[in-house]
Amino acid sequence: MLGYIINRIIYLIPTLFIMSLVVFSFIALIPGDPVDAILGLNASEEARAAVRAELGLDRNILVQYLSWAGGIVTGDFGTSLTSGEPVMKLILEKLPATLLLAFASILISVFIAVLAGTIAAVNKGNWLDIGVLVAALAGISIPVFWIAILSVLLFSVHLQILPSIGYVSLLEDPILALRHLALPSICMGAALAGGIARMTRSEMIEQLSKDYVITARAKGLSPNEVTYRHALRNSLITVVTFTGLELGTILSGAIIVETIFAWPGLGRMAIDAIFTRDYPTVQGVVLFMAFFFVFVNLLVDISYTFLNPQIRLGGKK
Amino acid sequence: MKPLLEVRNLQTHFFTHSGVAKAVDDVTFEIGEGEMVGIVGESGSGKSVTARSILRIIPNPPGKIVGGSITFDGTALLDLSEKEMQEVRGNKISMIFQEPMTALNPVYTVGYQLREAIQKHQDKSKAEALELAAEMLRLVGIASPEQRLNDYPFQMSGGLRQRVVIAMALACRPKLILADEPTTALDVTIQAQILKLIRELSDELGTAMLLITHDLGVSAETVDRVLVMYAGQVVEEAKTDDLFENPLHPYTEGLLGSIPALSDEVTKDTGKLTEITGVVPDLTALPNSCYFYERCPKRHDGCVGAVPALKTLKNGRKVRCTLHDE
Amino acid sequence: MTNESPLLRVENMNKVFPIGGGFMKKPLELHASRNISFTLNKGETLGLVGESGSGKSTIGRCILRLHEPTNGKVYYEDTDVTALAPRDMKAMRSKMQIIFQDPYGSLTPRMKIGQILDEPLRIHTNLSKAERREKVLETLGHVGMRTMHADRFPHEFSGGQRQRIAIARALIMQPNLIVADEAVSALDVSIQAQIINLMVEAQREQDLAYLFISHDLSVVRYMVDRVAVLYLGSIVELADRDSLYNNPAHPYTQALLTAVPSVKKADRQKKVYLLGEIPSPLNPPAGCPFRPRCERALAACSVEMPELRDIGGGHMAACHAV
Repeated sequence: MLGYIINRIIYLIPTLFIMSLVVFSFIALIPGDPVDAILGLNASEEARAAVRAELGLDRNILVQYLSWAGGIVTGDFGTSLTSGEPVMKLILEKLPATLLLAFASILISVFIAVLAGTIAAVNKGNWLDIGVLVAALAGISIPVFWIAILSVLLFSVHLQILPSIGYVSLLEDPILALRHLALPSICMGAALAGGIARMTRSEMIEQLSKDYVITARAKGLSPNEVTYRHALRNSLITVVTFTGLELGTILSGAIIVETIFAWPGLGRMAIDAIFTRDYPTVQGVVLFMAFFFVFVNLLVDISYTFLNPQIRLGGKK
Repeated sequence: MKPLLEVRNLQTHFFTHSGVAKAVDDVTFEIGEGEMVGIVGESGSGKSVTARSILRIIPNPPGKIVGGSITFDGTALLDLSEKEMQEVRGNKISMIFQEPMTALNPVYTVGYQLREAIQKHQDKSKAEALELAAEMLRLVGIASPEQRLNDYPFQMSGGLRQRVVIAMALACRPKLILADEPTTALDVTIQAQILKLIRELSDELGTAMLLITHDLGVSAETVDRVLVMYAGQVVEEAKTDDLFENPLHPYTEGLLGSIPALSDEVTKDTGKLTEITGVVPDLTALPNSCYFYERCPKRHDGCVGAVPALKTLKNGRKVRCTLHDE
Repeated sequence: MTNESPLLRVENMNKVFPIGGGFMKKPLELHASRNISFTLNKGETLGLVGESGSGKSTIGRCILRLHEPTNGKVYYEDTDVTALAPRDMKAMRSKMQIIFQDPYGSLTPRMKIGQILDEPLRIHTNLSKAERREKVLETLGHVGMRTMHADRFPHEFSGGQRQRIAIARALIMQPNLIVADEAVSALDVSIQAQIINLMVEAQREQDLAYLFISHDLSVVRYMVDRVAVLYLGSIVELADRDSLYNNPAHPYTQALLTAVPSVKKADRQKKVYLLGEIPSPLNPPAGCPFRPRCERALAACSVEMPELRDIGGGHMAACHAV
C-alpha cells in the first residue's frame, strides 16, 4: 500500500510540471499586451520600455518561464499588478471562503446523490427511479447561473428564508454562516450531484445483479443490508473515481457562483483579476486551482487503498 | 414419517416483454430429513428456479411464484412475511451457488462474511462468532483457519472459495441445503474433493440436500433419489440406481445416450452418440401436449391434446409419459 | 497411422506471459507452456486434456500464432510456422482454423451469418460474389443450418446453433487442421452430442485433423485417437487413446481418471483424492510440478523435472516413479 502511495506521489511531479507549462503558455498567449493594460495606449516608448523591464517582459520567454517557475517552487506566485501585494498572500486570504463553499457543495451533493442513485437503482423502472433521473438530468443540464437565479427567486425573494448574497465566517456566527452558505453550495453542487446520482445508479444496478448479492440474500440478510452493506460498498470505487474526475466542475462553477452570490473567494478574485488584466494574479490563481485539483485526485487515488482490498494488499498472494 | 420439505404443484412464472415464461410449471416432490435428492436437467429446465423459489429469492420483477405450496418442517413458506423468510434463509435452509469466484463479496474478508451469517441468526458476540467461523473453516477442511479469516476472497483459489461458501451455508446448522451446480465451475479433481466433502458433512450433520446439476455423473454418485426436469416440469423421479440403469422417460434415455462414458464400447470409431434432435420449447409458448413431443423418438398420437400428468407407478417410481400409463 | 510426415510438428515450444509490472517494477513471469513437443497426423485427432493452469488453451493459440510462442518451433507440413512473415502467415491461416468455447462471444454481433462466413472467402480466394454465396450456403447446409439463416444475426440463434456457425466458419476454407478449444464445453449435453457428431462427420469427409482441447475426459475419449495430459504447462503423459484410458501411467492421469463422476456403476473406480490445490503457474514447485500432490513422490522428484519418455509401445510419460 505504501508503495502504491509513493508511486502516485512520484507521478505527481511530471504532472505538476506540465501543468505549470500549460498555465504559463495560456496566459502568455492571450492577445493583448499587459503593458497596454497598465499604461493605456498613449504611453511613450520610454515609459513602456521601463514597465516592460520592470515586469521582466523584455527577457526571453523561456527565461520568463523559468523565473516564474522558480518562484512557484519557493511559494512566490508573483505580485499583483493592481494591489502590489504578493499573489500568494491574496490567495491565502481568499482561500478559506472558497474551501468552505467547495467543501459544503461536495458534501451535500455526494451525500444526496449517492442516496438518490441507490434508491433509483433499487426501484429501477418505477416513478421513484424516473424522478431521480429527471432531477439528475436537470442538475446537469441547467446552467449554474440559471439555477442560481431561480433559487434566489424562490428562497430569498419569494419565501424569504435564505439570504441571497454575502458571506459570514463560520467562526463568527455559525448559524448565519450556514444560512449564507446554503444557496451557493446547492447551486455549485447541482451539476456534480446529477452526475454522481446517475453514476451511482448505473453502478448499483450492475452490482445488484452480481452473484455475491444473491449469496447475501440467501444468507437471510434484509434487502437494506444487502443494498447498503454489500452492493453500495462495491459501487463506491467507481463512484469515488467519478467524483474525483468531476471535482473540476466544482472548481469551474466556483467562479460563476462566487460572482453571483458575492462570495469573497478565489473565483471572484480570478474574475476581478481578468477584468483588470492583472496577469500575475490570474496566473497564480489558475495554477493554484490546478494544483489543488491534482492534489484532490491524489487523495481519491489513496482512498482506493481503503476501498479496494486488492490494491491495498497488492494482488493475489 | 413426515417429510422435511414438501413442494406441491409449484408454479413460478417470469413476466417479460415477450410473454410469460413458465419457468417452473407444476413441480411436486419431497425431501426427507437427512436425505440427498438431486434434480438434473439442462438449461431452461427450471431446476435453478425451483431451488430459488423455495428460498423465495426470485427477482421480482420479473419473476413471481404464482401457484402451489412449499412446506418446510411444517411451515408453509409461501405464507411467511419477508422478515420471517429472512429468518429461514441461511439459518434453516441455506443455499450454495455455482460460481465460487463471484459468490463472495470482494471487499470484505472471509471472516467478516462468515461472521455476518452467524450473527444474523445467532445471538453471539463478535469474538464468539469469529470462533465459530474458524470452527466452520476447519470443518470444511481448510488449513490454518484462524489466519484464513483475515483473507479476502481474491486471495483464494476456486476450490477454497467454494469451501468457504459451504462453511457459510452450514454455519447455522440448517436442516436443508440447496446446492445449485456447486461443482460445475470447478476442476474435475477439485470437484471430487468438494463432492466428497459435501457427502461427508451431510452424513455427519444430518443435513438434507437438494443437489441441482446438469452433470448426470455427479448426480449418480452423490444423491439417493433423482428428479429429471424438462421445460419446467418434473418428467421422471426414481431412486438413483433405478433411474440410471433403467430410465423410463424418453428424455432421460436420450440424455443418457448423449453422454460418452469412460468405459463405453462406443467411441467415434464405433458409432455416433445418440442425439436428441431439435431444441427445448419456448417457455412462453408451451404446447398443449407433452412438452417433449417434438423431439421424442417414441412419440405417438396419444401424446397430443393434453399435457400428461406425473404419475406414480406401482414400484414407487414417477414418470410423466403416456407410454408408462398403467 | 499414416507413414507420411506429420501434418503438425511442435518442438520444445514455450510460452511465457509477463504479468503485472509497471514503472520501475519488473513483471512476473507466467510460464504457461513448458517445453511442449508432439506431432499430429493428417485426419487424426489429438486430445489435449488438463485442468486450470495446464496451459492447454495456450498451446492451441500458439500453434496458430494467436499468441506468439516465446521459443520453440511449430512445423506445418515442414514449413516453420513460427518463422513466417505476416503475409505468409496470412496464407497459412486458411489451412489452420480454430473453434472457440464461447458460442456467445465468438461471432461478431453486428454481422449477418452470411457475411461472417463470406469474409474468409473474400480474403483468401478469388471467387466471385455469386460463387462465394453458393459456398456459404453449401457450408451452412453441411452443418445442419438452413439457407434462410444466412441473413440473420448471431443473437437470433441458440448456443448450439451458434457453435454450428462457428464450425461452418472454420470449415469453409477447407482447412487441414482445426483447433477446437473447449468447443463443446459450454453446451448442454443433448446439444453437445449433436455438435460432436457433426465434428466427427466433418473430419471423416474432409480428412481433417483436430487438436481437441478439453477438460472433459469422457468427451475426449469419444473424440480422439491420441491424447496428451497436461499439468501446469507441461505434458505429463502422451499416448494412444486406449493405452491412456486403460493403462494410465502418470499418477496425475490416474487420479484424474478416477475423479470423473460416472453414471455407470461399473465405471466407478476407487477415487484417488489429490492433496491440496493446483499450484499457481506463477509459482510452480521445483522439480516435478506434480510433486506436492503426489503420493508416490521420490527424492528425485523435488530436484529434477522428469523428461517425457517412452515407457513402452509409444506410450510417453514424464515421471521418475514410472
